[in-house]
Amino acid sequence: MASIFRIIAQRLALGVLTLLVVSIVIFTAVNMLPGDFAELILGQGATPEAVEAIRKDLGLNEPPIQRYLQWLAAALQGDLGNSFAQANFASFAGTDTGSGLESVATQIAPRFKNTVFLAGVTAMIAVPIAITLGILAALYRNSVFDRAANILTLSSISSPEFFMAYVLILFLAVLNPILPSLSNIYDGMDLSERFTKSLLPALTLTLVVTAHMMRMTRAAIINLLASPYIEMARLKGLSPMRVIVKHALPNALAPIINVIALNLAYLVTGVVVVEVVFVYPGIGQLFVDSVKIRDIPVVQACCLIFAAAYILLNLTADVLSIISNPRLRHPK
Amino acid sequence: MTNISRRGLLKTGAAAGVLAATGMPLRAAPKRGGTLRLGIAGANSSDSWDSRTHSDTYMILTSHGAVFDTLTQVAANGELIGELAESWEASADAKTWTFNLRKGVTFHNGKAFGADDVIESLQMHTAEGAKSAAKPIVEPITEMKKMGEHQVQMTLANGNADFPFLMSDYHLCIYPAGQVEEAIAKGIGTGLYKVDSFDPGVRTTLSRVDSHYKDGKEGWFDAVEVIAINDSSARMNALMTGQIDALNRVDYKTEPLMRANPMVEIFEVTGNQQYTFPMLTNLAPHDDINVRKALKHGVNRQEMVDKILQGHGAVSYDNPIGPANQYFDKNLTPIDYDPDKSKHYLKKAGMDSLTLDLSASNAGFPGAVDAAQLYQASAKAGGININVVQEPDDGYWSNVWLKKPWCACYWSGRATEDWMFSVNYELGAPWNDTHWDNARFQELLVVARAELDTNKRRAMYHEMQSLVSQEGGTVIPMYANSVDANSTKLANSGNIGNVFQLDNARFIERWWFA
Amino acid sequence: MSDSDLLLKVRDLQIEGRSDETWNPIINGASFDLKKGEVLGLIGESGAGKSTMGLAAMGFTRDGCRISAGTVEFDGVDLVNASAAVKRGLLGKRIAYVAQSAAASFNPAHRLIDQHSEAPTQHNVMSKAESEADGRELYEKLRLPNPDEIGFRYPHQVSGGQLQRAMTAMAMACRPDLIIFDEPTTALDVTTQIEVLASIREIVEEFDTAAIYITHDLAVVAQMADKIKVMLKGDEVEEADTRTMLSDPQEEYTKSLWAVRSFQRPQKPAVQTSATPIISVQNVTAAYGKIPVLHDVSFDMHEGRTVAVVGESGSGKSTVARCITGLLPPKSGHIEYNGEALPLDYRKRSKMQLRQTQMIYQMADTALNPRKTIGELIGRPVQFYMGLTGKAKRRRVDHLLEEIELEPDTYYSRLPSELSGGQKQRIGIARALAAEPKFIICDEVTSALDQLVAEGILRLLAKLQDELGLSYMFITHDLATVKSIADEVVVMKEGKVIEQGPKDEMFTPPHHAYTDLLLSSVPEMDPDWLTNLLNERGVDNIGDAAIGKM
Repeated sequence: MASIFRIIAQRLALGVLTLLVVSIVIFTAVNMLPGDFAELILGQGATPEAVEAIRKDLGLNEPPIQRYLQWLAAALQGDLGNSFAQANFASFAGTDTGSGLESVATQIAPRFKNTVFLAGVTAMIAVPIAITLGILAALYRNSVFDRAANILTLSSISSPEFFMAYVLILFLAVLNPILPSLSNIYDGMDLSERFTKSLLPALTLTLVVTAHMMRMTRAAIINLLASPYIEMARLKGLSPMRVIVKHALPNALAPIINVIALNLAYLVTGVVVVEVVFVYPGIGQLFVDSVKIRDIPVVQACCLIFAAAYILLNLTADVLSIISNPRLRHPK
Repeated sequence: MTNISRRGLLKTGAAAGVLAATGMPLRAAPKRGGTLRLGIAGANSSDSWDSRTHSDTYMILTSHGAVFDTLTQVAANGELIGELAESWEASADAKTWTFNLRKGVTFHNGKAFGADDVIESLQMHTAEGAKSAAKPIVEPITEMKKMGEHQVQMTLANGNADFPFLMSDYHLCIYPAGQVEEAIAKGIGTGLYKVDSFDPGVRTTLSRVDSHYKDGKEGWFDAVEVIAINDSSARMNALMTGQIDALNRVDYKTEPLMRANPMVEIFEVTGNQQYTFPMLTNLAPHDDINVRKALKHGVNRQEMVDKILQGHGAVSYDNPIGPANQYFDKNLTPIDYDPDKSKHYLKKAGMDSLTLDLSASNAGFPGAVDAAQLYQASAKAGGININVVQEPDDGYWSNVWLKKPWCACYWSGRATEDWMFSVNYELGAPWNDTHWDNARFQELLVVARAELDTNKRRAMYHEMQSLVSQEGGTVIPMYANSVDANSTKLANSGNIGNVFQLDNARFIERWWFA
Repeated sequence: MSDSDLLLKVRDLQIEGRSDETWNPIINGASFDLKKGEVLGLIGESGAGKSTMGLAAMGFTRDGCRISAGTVEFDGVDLVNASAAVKRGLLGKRIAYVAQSAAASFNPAHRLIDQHSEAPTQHNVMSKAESEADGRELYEKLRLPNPDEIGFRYPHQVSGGQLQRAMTAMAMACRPDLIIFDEPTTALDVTTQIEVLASIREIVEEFDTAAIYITHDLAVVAQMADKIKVMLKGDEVEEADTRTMLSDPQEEYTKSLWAVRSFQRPQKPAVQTSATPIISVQNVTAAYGKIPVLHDVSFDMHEGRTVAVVGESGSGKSTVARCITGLLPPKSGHIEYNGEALPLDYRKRSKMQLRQTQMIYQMADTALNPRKTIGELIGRPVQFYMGLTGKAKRRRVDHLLEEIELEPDTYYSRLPSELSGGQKQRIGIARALAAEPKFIICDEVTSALDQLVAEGILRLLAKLQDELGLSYMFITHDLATVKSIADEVVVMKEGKVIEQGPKDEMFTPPHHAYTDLLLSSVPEMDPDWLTNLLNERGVDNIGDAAIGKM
């Protein structure tokens, strides 16, 4: 078990390094995009004087390396800075907005909470469905059920997310008004209403991620079905369900956990389209808005959160798959 | 829009109450109640209650259209009426304006409204470091004098007959003096609705104040929820599934679908919004008036309205003054699409044919690239070879507009003729995108500004429209409608304002549940 | 035979397997009877269909196989047509299975005792507590160490021989009427095998369980079975009771099986003590990381002779080979070639030095790149070591193919997948020969092959040795192979050389105790061999148990 802690420590150290690289890449990439914050926020009103004034206020005139190092120095002390939009507003109005959203951290926190909530609801629906379907598909492989599940999940995975979203809206909100197509959740909403409002986007995401997890579960189990201990289990006269759940599943956990982690990471980082379609106030919308106006502090913070989510979820998956392996759990 | 004269009285204005008593059309009487839910495009996570920064529909609607009031307002029928000002009076040279303020008005925090609030709120726009978009309106005020608790006198550097009109600008919301910062943070105004919650770029909830000077005339909903929905499909869906009661910016492509829905009504007005192709007239070949005329005859305006706006608009003959303006000249000499005329003017310019670049991106206006290609096709017959240069959306306003000799652009128009011309056509203005130098036009611009006589002004503005149409540097093929939609559960007075989207952004105040 | 005694009746059983979209026969009609308590030995080479038959006797076919005709009747139940539920009711309860590899057939995710008690509880034969207690008793009967505790271990925490016995105990859990043993000792070392055999035989006798014992090892089946059935490529060859079958085989094929053991090279004259050995391993000590594997190992190998290095798994045989080839540089000691010290690390050796020492591996499959043709596979070392290209290279490859008795024109452009196991091993030999070496290390080259095929390889190697004067180092755990091909024998145990000398001496007593144990553990064709050995030594003095006492 000591080795697990060593792996965790190593991976976390590597993770910090990854975050550093991510921040450099993102900073460079955003700077390479045409137009900067000043030009984009002013739009049609971008007279050279106005652009210059904003650049001066925000320090955008300084060389990029210096700006990056300043950001990094602050970030290392836990200060992700203020968004350009807010900083610009403050210099514009001579006061802050008073909305309590001055810093990047306070701006992102509620959005991230919402995204995590949506990811959580989706995972609660998708993971059990995917694993159950995967097990059933493995159990009745090559049957009509298996083929139907395959076709359904494959078509859902290969359709664009917004298409799935609109199909669900059509059937569950327009033709049969069961669920709201507007997921404008807000603070102070009670949990059941929040859940109802999040259901359509969660179902859309479920359709998107279930296929991947279900097929991996099916493949991981089928992969094991040829192994001698499965044959042995069947020769003990066990029911097919017990063979799969009790004998195949525990040994197929590692790949299943990995694909679940990957999909959870996707749910945190890749749901922009769904958030837009359902007007869900998550971090993805904020991220896209910020990229549009080159609001580098917000973009940086979002990317760091995305990268950290990937790193932590993958680490969790690796640790869980190690723990799921009895050889490592019970050394000789 | 109605064709009745917008201002019976120019020199003085009267309170809304007088007109409202007679102006109400024969419709079911409005009634109080219900929670209005709006799905609005044009919200940003950087939104705030500081009206100096407002530029998009969401904040304009909730701020000056519900929470805050301005001194004057444009009524649904186009009339300029008082809001916080009960009446106003100008000196003969239109330099000094006296506003009589409404009495007994209180802010949401209980503070009484008075002259100090007006003075301090207007001063916000010229304060050191403030970069208000309304600075050009307030800057010419050389002096603001408190004549009494409810009277303010303003002195202008030069006469401006439109001054009371300018006071209706949505940037000029009135804040409580001495509490401006708090008012910006919490949204404390004198409007019909006070702020319950505000999540920038996401959602705002408002509730009706208990008693208000507009009681019985406006403010029918008990509460309002304004949801930011920038995605157009999501907005349309929300309305069609009954999750919101109204929305703005109907997507032209889904408009027929919405029209087919019996629960939904489309309301569409032609205002001043225009899609333009400005050319820098100080550069060859655009410096040649014959080239400009050739280009003006090279565009098929009706085709643009049909194909780019899908019919949701009207043909413009290169006129920046729109149907929502008071002195709009609807009898301007048409500029027809005629390749022979193009050839004729080219010949006059000493050319057999002309090849030139037209820079376009959909950042210029929605469908600008398609429009440029239509232009290219139609102009060809007249011997003009337009080379459409597709520019990136990002940085379009910084790198293309005002820089490339000819490009695509849009203007939402201005409430007054003078304002529009001053911003876009006055020599030396930063956003003058043609550098068109016409002595007569520039002279008229200054004279008309201070002229209080309606007929004289009309004549002058008609002449200016004619000049800019015939000789100016901008090809303006079309006015784009603002197309909004509402649930059939809602009702309105029968007059819908066309200065801005959503009944001049006063939807919340003026509509009710039938 | 009275019908009431009849437990299993198999008639005209035909089984087909699906490949390339068609059904191909695997078993072409087999019939046999099994009485209660009777043990049938099922013998044949790989591909004979033994395992398929064994599973079919349980009414079970692997994925892609089907019973196309015939009947399997177990105690009056037609297993071919029985519903899945009926079969599940019998499997594990009345018919049990012991697989070839216990390590692979125990589920790595569960403790032994949990797997043991699964069948009794699922079939409602016993409660979990009862079956766990019963499991402990069975473990004790099968002489597993710490029977009270061993069940709580996971499969990977238990050695192969112990697992095989735990699996036998698991098969016994419901006291079935019939157990199918599918090569249960094939993967084990001889000393472990003998213990497992003794345990199985004892417990089968005690509970009067009928069994089908599947193996390719004639000597093993002779110890276990009451009667023997010989199979060849899905066909029945013959069936008779064990003693009759051994003493008087009727069919040619059976006779040829019996004759495999007869191949024996004549002993060569002793080596001159003054002769310089071609390879001399001197005081080699080696380790994997910090784990020592070889301790002061020394032996010589001479030109034109074969040295067999024998020992059980983990004895360090293969490590010696890695030291000689330089893949694992020793910690101390050195390797001499023709009296000259070789650099210890292969990366420091010259091409000439590398050429002289070649290797042939156990798994011919994995050693050959499946995408290259035979010509390319052999051509590569020809070009690399000998610098031949074009026609010269082709001539050399053809010559090598002739040497290994494969027709050049037929095989030159084939892919490895188109060859049989024996042919692939021949390609491995040709690749080694391509470098024109003096010395070849053969690492368990016949272990994966059937006896007849293995014999062919041994004969080929002997022929090549005579023609080319090659020296072989023959790593094996199979003493029968040693007997047939070795000139000298080196016995290894736990990284040390226990004993070494000419073969005849080594197979003549007195031996070192370990060598003795190793030799005596090799089953012989005598059906009474195991019984005699047990009578002679007692059950605690055979195999691993005896090693523990050394």
